[in-house]
Amino acid sequence: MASSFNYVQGDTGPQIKVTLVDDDTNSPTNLSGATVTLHFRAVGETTLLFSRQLYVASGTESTGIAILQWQTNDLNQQPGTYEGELEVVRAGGLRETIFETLRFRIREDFA
Amino acid sequence: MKLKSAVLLNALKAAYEAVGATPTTKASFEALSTTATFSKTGFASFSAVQGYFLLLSQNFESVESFDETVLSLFRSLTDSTELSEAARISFYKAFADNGYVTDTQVFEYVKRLGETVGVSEVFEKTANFNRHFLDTPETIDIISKQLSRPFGDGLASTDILRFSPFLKALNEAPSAVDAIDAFAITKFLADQTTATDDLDGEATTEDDQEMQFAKARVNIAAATDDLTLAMAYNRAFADSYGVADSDVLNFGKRLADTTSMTDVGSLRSQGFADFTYFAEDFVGASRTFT
Repeated sequence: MASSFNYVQGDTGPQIKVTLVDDDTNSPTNLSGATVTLHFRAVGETTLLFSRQLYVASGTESTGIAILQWQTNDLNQQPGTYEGELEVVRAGGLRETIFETLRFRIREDFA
Repeated sequence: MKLKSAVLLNALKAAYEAVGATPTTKASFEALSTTATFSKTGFASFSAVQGYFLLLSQNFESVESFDETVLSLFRSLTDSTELSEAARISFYKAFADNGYVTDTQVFEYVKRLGETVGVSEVFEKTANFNRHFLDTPETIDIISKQLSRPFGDGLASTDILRFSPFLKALNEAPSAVDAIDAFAITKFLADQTTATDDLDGEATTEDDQEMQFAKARVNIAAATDDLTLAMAYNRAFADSYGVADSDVLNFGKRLADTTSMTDVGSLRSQGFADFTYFAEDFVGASRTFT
């Protein structure tokens, strides 16, 4: 996993593929009926900028893979460092948040 | 630090895992310089890779529901199946496609792929009539009856007496018959005169005048039959056409051309003298013809 994902201000790509693994069994997490959401905010800030749900492709739920597709203006943020929190809500309503966070760095766009 | 009690590290680790201790708790134990190992049930790690993995994302579709009246003069991409009965006469091609199901009689002459195997049983019986080598001559008297026509032809002559009482006799007896074919109706010219003074004309020895007026008792009834024909002329219901001849003066040219020739003149033949010599025709001939 990269320590920091670099983007330019206003980008909508590339995507980010997240593979979730059960720590105790070291096997891919079954995401059948579950939702994976990324909560995005600036480092050192408490204000949540946006939340974006990741896409779990049909037929690949048992692989634990979820893909994040940025939307317009998601990364149209001020240059700086940001962090993202992954939250998984199982089909039964059980909410599990990954302790580790994703790091992002955004620089200013030229034009 | 004064140790009040000692607990085995494995037992303490198992106790922490049983209660589901959090990392905060773990940090507290580390701050107390107590070493413990924790493991969180469920997933606790992930890996993230940057790149393009989706060609189409369904998460970002915006679904809207609106009602819009659209007049489309082109063929829609989706087929709409309708079953309607419209009584109208259209002189243009409809935009909607109507599906019809027709039954076409098709005769296909194909060779069957399957091969039908038939098993039949033919019963054959062979009868051998073997002639014995031993030949035994026999003498047999065969009784036979022949129904054949004899060749002899017997002729017979027979006189047949026939009575024909109603036949015309061959002899003819002529007879002479006078036929009265003329009737002579003559009136006698002689008139017989009687001498009498009676008024009735009857000659008697008496010289008297007798007049008898007798009423005839005989009443002769006559029956006559008058033929009366009654004819009723009923008018027919059918229309009768009348042909009227109207006076029309036509000044057209007649198609028929009637040609007439009339020869009128007089003929005088006088060779003896000049015509003016005699007052009238004295010698010669003179006639007028028309």
